[in-house]
Amino acid sequence: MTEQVSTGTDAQEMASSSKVHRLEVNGVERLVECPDDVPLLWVVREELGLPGTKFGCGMGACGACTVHLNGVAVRSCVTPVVAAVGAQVTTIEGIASGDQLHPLQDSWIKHNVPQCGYCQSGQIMAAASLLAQNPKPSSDEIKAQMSGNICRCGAYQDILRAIEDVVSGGSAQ
Amino acid sequence: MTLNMTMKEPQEGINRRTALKVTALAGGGLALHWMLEPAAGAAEGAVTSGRSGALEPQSSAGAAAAGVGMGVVLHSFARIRPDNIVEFVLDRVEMGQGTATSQAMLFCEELEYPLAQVEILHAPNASEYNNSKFFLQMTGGSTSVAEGHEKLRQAGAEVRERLRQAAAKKWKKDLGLIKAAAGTLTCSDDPSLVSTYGQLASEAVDVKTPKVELKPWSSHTLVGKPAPRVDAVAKSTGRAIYSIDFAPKGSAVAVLIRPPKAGAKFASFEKGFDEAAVRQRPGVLAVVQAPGGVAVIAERYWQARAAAGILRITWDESRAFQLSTAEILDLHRKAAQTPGRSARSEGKSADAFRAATKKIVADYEVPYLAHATMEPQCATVLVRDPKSRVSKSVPVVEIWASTQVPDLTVSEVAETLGCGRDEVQFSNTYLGGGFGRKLRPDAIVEAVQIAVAARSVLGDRPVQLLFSREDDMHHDDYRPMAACHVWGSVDDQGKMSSLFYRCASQSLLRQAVPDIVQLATPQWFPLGLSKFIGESAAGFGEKGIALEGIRDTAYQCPNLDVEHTEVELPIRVGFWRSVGHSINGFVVESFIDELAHVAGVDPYRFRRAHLPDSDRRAGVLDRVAQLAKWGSSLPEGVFEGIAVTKAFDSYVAQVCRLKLEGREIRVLEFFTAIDCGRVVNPDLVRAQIESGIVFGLSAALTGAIDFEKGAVVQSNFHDYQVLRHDRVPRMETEIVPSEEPPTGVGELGTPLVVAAVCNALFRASGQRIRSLPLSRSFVPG
Repeated sequence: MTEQVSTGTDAQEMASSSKVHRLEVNGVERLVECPDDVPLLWVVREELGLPGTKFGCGMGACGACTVHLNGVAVRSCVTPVVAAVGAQVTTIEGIASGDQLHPLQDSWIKHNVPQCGYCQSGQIMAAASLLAQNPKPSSDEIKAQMSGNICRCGAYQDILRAIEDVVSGGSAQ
Repeated sequence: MTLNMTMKEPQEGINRRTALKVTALAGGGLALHWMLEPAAGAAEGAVTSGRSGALEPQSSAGAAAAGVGMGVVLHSFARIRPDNIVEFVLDRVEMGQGTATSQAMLFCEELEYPLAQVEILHAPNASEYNNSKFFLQMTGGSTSVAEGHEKLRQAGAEVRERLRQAAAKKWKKDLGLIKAAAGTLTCSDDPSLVSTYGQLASEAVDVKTPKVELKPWSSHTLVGKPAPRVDAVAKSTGRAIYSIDFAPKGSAVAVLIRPPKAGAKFASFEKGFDEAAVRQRPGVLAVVQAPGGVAVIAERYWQARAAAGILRITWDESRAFQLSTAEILDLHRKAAQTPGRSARSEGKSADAFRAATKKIVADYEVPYLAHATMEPQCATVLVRDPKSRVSKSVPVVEIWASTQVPDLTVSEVAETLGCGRDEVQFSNTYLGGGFGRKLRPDAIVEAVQIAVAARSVLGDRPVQLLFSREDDMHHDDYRPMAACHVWGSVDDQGKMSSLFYRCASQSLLRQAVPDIVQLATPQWFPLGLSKFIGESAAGFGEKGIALEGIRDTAYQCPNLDVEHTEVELPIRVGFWRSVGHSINGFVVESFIDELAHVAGVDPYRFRRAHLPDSDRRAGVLDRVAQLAKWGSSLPEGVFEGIAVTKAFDSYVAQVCRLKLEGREIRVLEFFTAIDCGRVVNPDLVRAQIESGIVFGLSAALTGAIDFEKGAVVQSNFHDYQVLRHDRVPRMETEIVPSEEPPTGVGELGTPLVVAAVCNALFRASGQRIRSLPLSRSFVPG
C-alpha cells in the first residue's frame, strides 16, 4: 500500500477566498472574481475568453503561456492574478494595433514559421518583449533570450529568421 | 477581442483579408463562437457534417434549399459557397507537418482555385476519408502526401470538370470553349460570359462526375513550389483552435488522478482525510471514481487542479508493476542475448564471423522516450443518456478533441459506452503536436468514462479532461527501450563478411493491433476474438516494426541475420516519431561506423562501397557528402559524422558537424539530403526535416524516461529536457530531384540524427557511444 499525494506543479492551496480584481487586458478594463493566487494564464483563458495564450507546463519552463505585463514578457502560468492588478496586460490577441498586425506577426506569416503552432503565441510574445527592450539584438542574443520558449516541432531556425527580418528592418511590412 | 479585425490591403502572394477569414473558421472557429457567445446551433456546423458520414453530395432540391452562406457539396472533399469560397475537407490531421497546406495544394492545383482563398474543414469520421495504407482514417507513418496525392488531384479535377460542364450547359457552349482558372469560369469566344465557381456550384450538382485526366506533374503551377501555409495566419494571431480550446461554452473541467504505476488501483481515501471538504470547495462539482482513477470535476481548471492537489489517496499496489530502470534494462539486456524471431537470414553469419580476423561484438541500448507534445493531452465530451434523447438522431456522445485516428476513437468510445458507432459524433481540430502520441485516443476514452461516472452531476453538460504536463509525462505511450546485440566482421578488402543484428524491445503492435482489429470488424464481432486475432497478428508483425531500418538494409553482406526478441512488460509503449527507425537508425549506423573503423576505411566510402550504384541510398549519400563537403579540412576541433538509411519509402542521409567545448557537445551543423520522390511543397519538406532533426537531437542529448519502482520519474521540462533555441545547429537540407511518386517526409529527419552525432563524437573524442542519452553516456575528457 502506498499513499499518494496528487500534485501537479500548478496545484495551489486556495490561499484566500474569491475577490474582484480589476484588470486592464489588451487595453480594455475587465473585472474578474477569483482568489488572488489563481495563475494569470487561467484567468486569461477561462475568465476572459482569450484562448490564444496556451498551457504547456504550469511551471514557467516552456514559455507557451507568455504574456506581457507593461510590455515585458512574463510566464502567466506562474504569475498570480493579483500581480497583474495595476499593470497593463497584453496577450497575443492584443499585440496588433487596430487593423495592423505586429511586425513580428507579419514576419511569422511571411516566413511560414508555425508548424503545429501551439508554442507560437508564446514565441511571438517573447520576441516582442525582447525587441521592445533591445531593438537590435545579435543572433546569439536572440537565441539566448528566446531559450525560455520551447518549440517541440523545432521551428527554431524559422523563428530566428523571422525575428532577424524584423530586426534588420526587413520587408515584413 | 474582435473577430472582425480588418486588414490593410493585401500584399502580393498573401491575401491577408481572406486569409484572416480562414482563421475564423479553420480548425474549429465554430468553437470560438462557443467560447465567446451562446452555443451555435447545428445548422452552422462547419466542423462536422453530421455524425453519419462524409459530406453527401446534395440533390438540386437540397442545394436550392441551402440558402445564403451554405456551401454546395460537389465532392466529399469540398463544399463551395455562393461567395466563391471553397471549403476543403482535410482528411488527415494538421499537427505541424503541413498537411492542411500540402493536401489543399494538390486539390487546388487541379481545381484551378487560389490556395489563399481555401478554408479548411477537418473531416468528420467517415470511411470516405480513410488512409488506404492503413484501412483507417489515420494520419501517421509519413503517408499523407504519398497516399493522398492522386486522390486529391482526382477530386479537384472532378469538381472542376463538373463546374465546366455546368457552365457549358448553362451558356449553351461547347465544353472546349469553357476555361476554369483561379476560381472563375469563362468562355473563350464570348467575354461577357463569366461566372465564379460559387455562382455555378448548385448547377454542377446534377452533372454526372466525368472521367478526368490529371495534369502531368511537369505542368503544375502550384504543386512543387513553396506556398504560404494556409494555417500560418491563425497560428500567428492566437486564433488556431486546439483540443484545449475546443470546448462548448459552459463545459465543466475535469482532472484525473491516475494510479502512479501500472496495475495499481484505488484502495481508499487516506484515513481521516475529509473527502467531503474537497467537494465543498468553490467551483468543485464532483469527485468521482472512474476506471482510470479519481476524477475531480469543477467549473474551472484551476479549481479542479487545486482540489485534486489536496486529495489524499491510498493505492492498492499488491499487483502493481514495481521495477526500476536498472531492472528493466537488465531484462532488455538478457532478452538481447536470447534468440528471437528471425526477420531475415542469408548465408551463415556465425561461421563467417568465426573465420574472420577483423570483427566486433557490440551491445547497444536506448531508453524509453516521451512524446512531450507542446499541448498536454485533452478532450471534451458530452455523453447523453440514450433514453433521454429527444430523438434517435441525436448523438449519444459528442466529442471535441484532436486525434490522429478518428475512427479508432469512435470505435473505442462506442465500445466503452455500449452504443452504436453511428451514435458517436466526433469533431477534430488542430493538434498541438502529434509525433505519434495521438495514435491512441486514451484521453478521449478517459473523458467519456468520467462523463459517465459523473452523469448525475453533469447532466447534459460537456466536460473537458485536461492533462497537466506531469500527467502527460507520466502517462504517455513511450518510445520503447531497446537493447541490441550486434556483431559483424570485415574481410581484408574492407567488405563486410558478416552482420548479426538482434533487437530486444517491447512490442508496439501487441498493444495497438487488437484495437485496430476491433475497429475493422463489425460491432457485433466478439471483442475477445478480435483481441485474439490482433495479438496473433501482432506477434508476427512486430518484427516488421521493431526492425525497421535494418530488416530491409541494402548494405551488401553475404552473411546476414536480423531478428527481434520481444520483451513483455506492462509499460505503455507507442509510436514515436520514426518508430523502429528511432532505435535502429542509431544502432545500425553507429555499428556500420564501427565496422568502417575496424576496416580502416573512411565512413562515407565504406557505406558507399556496400551500396549498389542504382540504390537511392547511394544517391542521397553521395549528395549529402557533396553538400557537406565531406572530408574537406575542418576548423580546429570540429569533427563530422555521416549516416544513411531508407525509411517510409524515402531515402535520407545526414552529416553532423560538432565541436567539444569543455564538457559540452556543441552540435554546429546538420546537412541532410532527402530523396522523397516528387515534392508538393519544398518548403514544407525542409521544415519537416529541420523539425525531425531537432526532435532527434533533443532525444540524443538528454532524452530519457526512467522508472522508480514502477512509477515514471520524469515529470516536466526541468527533468525531461528538450532542445531549445540556443542549442539548435545550423541546418541545410537538399531535396534530391526525382520523378518517382511522392513518398514519406514527416519522420525522415529523425532516424539518423543520433548516429550522425555519435559518429562525429567518436572522431572528436575516441569514445564510441553505445547507450543514450549522451548526457549520461558521454564522458567529457
